[in-house]
Amino acid sequence: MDNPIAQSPFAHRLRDTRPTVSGGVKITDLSALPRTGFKGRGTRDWLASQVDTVPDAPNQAAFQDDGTVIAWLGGQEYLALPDPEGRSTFCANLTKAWDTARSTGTQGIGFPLPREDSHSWLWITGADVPSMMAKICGVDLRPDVFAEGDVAQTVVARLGAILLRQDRNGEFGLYMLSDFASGHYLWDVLQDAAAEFGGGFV
Amino acid sequence: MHCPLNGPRNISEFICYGEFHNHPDPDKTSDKDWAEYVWLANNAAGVVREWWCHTPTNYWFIAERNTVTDEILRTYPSEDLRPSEELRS
Repeated sequence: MDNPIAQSPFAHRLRDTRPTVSGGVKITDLSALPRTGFKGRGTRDWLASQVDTVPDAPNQAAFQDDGTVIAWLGGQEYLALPDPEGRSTFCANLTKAWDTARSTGTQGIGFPLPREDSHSWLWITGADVPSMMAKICGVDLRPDVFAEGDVAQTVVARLGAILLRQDRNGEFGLYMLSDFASGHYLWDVLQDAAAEFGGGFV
Repeated sequence: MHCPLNGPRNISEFICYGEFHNHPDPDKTSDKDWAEYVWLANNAAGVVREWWCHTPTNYWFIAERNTVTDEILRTYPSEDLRPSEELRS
């Protein structure tokens, strides 16, 4: 792809001159990775036939053995994310399996809900992340309250966002999926919020 | 406000969509009653049932609110509301 902003809404900002990140809060852009979802009647049963484990309750995520994630957003709506290193073909496999099932006339399996063009994807990690997020988000994200695998669908810096706790090498971490088209704004907000902790985009 | 799906959230994450009314059967109701259903609101002073939406998830539910004190008393999924419970003058 010629224009990197088509893959990540933060791509054009990564060239910005910015302070070195010293710890506290590290923001990693995962927006170039695949992400998708499924929604509609029958989605849960169909997904359960495709993956090792699905969440037991809404606003919970189920981690698969290879680091991929299925999150239950409510009703019959699910989010699928690959491992953060992008090794797996999880999303492509699910999409292909859905296409195959559909082409053979299977009914009641929901419909795909692609997220690559609608949501940016960040991994915000570090011990100071709950304190930083407290400045821009109303949900209590302290580690003893917001457990690994918990999901919060809320507003972050006035943008709708999906937060999913996914720690990184034992450090507190959050996946944050938010409006793709607001990436430019979100970059400035997060850089500003993280500056207090010596953090920012890495 | 407590969202039945997402738990306690800032009120800024919600939008109120007005009074809950039973949906009359369009084939069996008079034009006058249908017009009232579509256009008129009770605007009662006291406890009312309202449609609310948690906008980040687009989740719709019912809230019982005291319109005098602006106190939200209870929230629950619309499936839990039986039509006969409607408060209507």
